[in-house]
Amino acid sequence: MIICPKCQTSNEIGQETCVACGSELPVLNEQESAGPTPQNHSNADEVDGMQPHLPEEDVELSPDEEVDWLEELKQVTAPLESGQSSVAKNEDLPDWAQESVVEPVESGNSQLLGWLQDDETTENLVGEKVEPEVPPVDSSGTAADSDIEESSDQLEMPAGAEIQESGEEDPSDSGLQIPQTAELPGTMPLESHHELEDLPEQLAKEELPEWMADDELPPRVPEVTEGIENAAAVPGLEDLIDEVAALGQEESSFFGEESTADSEADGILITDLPPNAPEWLVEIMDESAENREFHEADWDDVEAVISQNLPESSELSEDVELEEEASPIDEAVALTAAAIAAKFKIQPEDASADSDQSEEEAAAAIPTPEIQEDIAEADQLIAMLDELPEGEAESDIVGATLANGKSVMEDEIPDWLQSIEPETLVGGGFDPVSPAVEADGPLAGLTGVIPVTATLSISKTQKTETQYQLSKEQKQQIAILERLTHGEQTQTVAGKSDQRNVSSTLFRLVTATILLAVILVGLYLPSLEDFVSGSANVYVPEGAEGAFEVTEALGSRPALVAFEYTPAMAGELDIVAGAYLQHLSEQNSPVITISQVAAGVPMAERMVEQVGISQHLPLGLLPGEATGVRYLGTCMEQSVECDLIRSQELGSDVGDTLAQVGLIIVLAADRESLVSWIEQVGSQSDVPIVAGVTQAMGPIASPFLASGQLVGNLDGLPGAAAYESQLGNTSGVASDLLSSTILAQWMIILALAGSSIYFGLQAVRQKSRR
Amino acid sequence: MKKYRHALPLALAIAFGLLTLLGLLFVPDLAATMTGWASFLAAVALLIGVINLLGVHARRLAGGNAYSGVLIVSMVAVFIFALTDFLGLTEDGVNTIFQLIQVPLEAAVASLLVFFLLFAGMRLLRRQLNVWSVLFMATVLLTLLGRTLLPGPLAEPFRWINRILSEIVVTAGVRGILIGVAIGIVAVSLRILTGSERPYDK
Repeated sequence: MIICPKCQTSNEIGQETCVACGSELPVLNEQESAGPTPQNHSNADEVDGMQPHLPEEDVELSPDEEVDWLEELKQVTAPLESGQSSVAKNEDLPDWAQESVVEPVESGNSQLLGWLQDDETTENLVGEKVEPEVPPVDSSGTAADSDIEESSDQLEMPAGAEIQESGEEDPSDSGLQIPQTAELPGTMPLESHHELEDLPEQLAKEELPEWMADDELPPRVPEVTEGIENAAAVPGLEDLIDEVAALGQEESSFFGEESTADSEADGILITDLPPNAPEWLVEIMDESAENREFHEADWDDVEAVISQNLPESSELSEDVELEEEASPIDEAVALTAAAIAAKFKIQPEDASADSDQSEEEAAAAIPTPEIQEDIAEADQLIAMLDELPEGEAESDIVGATLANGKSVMEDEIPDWLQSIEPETLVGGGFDPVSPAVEADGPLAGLTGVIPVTATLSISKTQKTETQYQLSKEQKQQIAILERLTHGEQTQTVAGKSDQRNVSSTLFRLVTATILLAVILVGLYLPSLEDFVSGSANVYVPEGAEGAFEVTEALGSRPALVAFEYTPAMAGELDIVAGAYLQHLSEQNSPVITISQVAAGVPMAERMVEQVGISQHLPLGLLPGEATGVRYLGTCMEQSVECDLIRSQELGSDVGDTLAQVGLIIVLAADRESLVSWIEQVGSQSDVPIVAGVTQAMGPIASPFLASGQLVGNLDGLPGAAAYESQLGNTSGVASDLLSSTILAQWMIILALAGSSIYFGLQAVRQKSRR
Repeated sequence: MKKYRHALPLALAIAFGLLTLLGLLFVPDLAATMTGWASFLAAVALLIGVINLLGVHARRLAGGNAYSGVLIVSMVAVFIFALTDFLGLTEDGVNTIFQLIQVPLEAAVASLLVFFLLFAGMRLLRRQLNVWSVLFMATVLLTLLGRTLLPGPLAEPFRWINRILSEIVVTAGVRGILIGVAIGIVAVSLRILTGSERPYDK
């Protein structure tokens, strides 16, 4: 079988690509494809075992190498301590995690013989059995199966544990039903059972590679020995145990002291030690000699001794010690490198340079180009691990380590990592029945994954929370303060606003009341001229006299009166219009009324009726603004006959009347109307134009008056009063209203002056304060 | 058609503008005819405007605008009274409505102007105290003092100041405005005659 270097899937010999992942499979000869002997459980072990074999005086081991083989040792001992099958877990790991985390066991597993691998019935981390596709069980294994089943029944099985039936592909396989290691705490790993079952058949020399057949056997698989010891209670397996033990002794005698130590650390029974073996190894061997059975207590002692004597025995430099304290990422990288090297039977460069024997073995085992490719892949994998974020890599390592069991020695685990160890491991071992499976993320499929994010992000989270978090009391204080300040502002603004509104409203009411009272009082008061000392100083507009003279000169000729104002200005302009109409009425002059404003037509009719004009010709509305006014002015020319006025056919009498108009009186409340009459009619006709405007329009009409375009002008009530006085009517409407207007003017002057002085001084004070 | 849609009004405007100008300068009858047509068109436009006003406010009334409803009701009522006056059913109905409703309302609103002006003048210096506001207030006071009834010796100086203001300052300003308006009218007329300004094509 050819093991895919990427997905670890078993492929048939001769296949070039993996059936699972499609990656290219390494080309191996038949002997290699058959896999190493059961003793060749791990090439990492083989490589590591070779390193101590070299003379210590001649070889300077690099720290990396030392760490590598030590890490391999840790990984190999993991299943023994936890009683779990790393292989079963590794198959459920993601590809990248498999390559980076659990290489020792996996690599060792990959080096198993094909018949052995095919016998494996894997179980994933969640306890689901994965039955490999296998041919029917050979009948030769029936008896052994029944024995194993009986022995399994005798074992104490935890809840949920199941004895797994595995179909055996190889005819030589006994087909025994061996309980999974993970299902039976305290029992040996799964691989051990299978290897134990298959050892008699697979130990044949012809199935071993050449380099292994030449007695260059690597250290035996630790699980094998452990399995043998744990399976001693199984009837019918004691013979196999003895054979395996003998094989272990043979291997241990082949390798040197370090390899023996490794083998012992891996759980291999070692009986003989070289004379130059270190003390700590001798102690271990003594213990092993006294008690051949391998249990966890012994392993704890072994680990402790190894950790204590490690610097002495390996003569590591300070750099090595520092390397031992490397981060979990570095450990993972070292593990991965070692595992990949072992997987592809790669001898480390230093070791290969120092050991010709190892070089020759590696060269004989694997073609050189393939080795180079594998090395390149290993380098890429190491680079990928280096690029991993620190936290994530640590979490991966931690998760993988916990998933595999206690593979790292207690004294090498950092405190922070110790603190996050799950209770299941602390309390009494890993619970295989209900492992927590990571559902998603890069660790999907892993069990026993510690919530790394919550644990590792505590410091940052605490910093952030402590920096911005407000206590309940502080929030209450803030709320109270905000409510108070907002309420004060609102009350202040509202109070000031209310005060201002009240004072302003009161001030307006008082002012309006006073003004209204003054006007009303003025209506009923006699003429103010009697109260003013000296000569009469009533204001007489400049154009009043000219307007009176022109009107007086009109005689009985018709006058055209244009009512260009609305009822809004009727209060002022009606008095002016009344003065003009009164004069025309006294002279019996015909009056033609017209207006450019729709509201001016009824205003004209009302004033005609009010004054009592006997000869009245209403022309109504004059549309077209300036154009209409010009057209009317054209019609007033005697040389031009107008058929239509305001879109109605003019009679001959109207035409004649228009042609005889001797005066145009424009009563305007806006500038445009006044200007239209002056520009459109006055420019083409010799008919004089007088105006009657509001006082506000007086300044606008004064330039036309000064230029002669207007012969006369009456602006507002004073002009009308002056016009009435010229008529000799001192008790007219304008004269009666003049006193009220004068009183109102006085009051307005006082109010404006007083307020201007008051507010002006107040503003000056404010500016001076600023 | 798109070409004629813009060209035809332009040609008509330029042609009638030139004809009117020529009539005003040389042919009075032609000018009178042109202005007569213009007056007739203005009356038609006024009628169209009234109909358009009715339609616009009818749509607003459909949208829930109550003021438009008041306007439509008033318009229809005046139209009905005008029709009855024309038919002899009523006598001077439109004028009566106008005198009873329109005149008092407008007069009342206009009478409030004196109060508004007074309050605005009183708060002028409180709101804004600068040279121009002081100058404005001073001009108002001087004009009022020059136009009101004052004792003889006190009235003469203000009358003189008022005359100076009216004949020099105000007349100069108003004439400047009128001259500016006249120049603007000439410019717009030339632009219309040359087709540069097309107010009818907006």
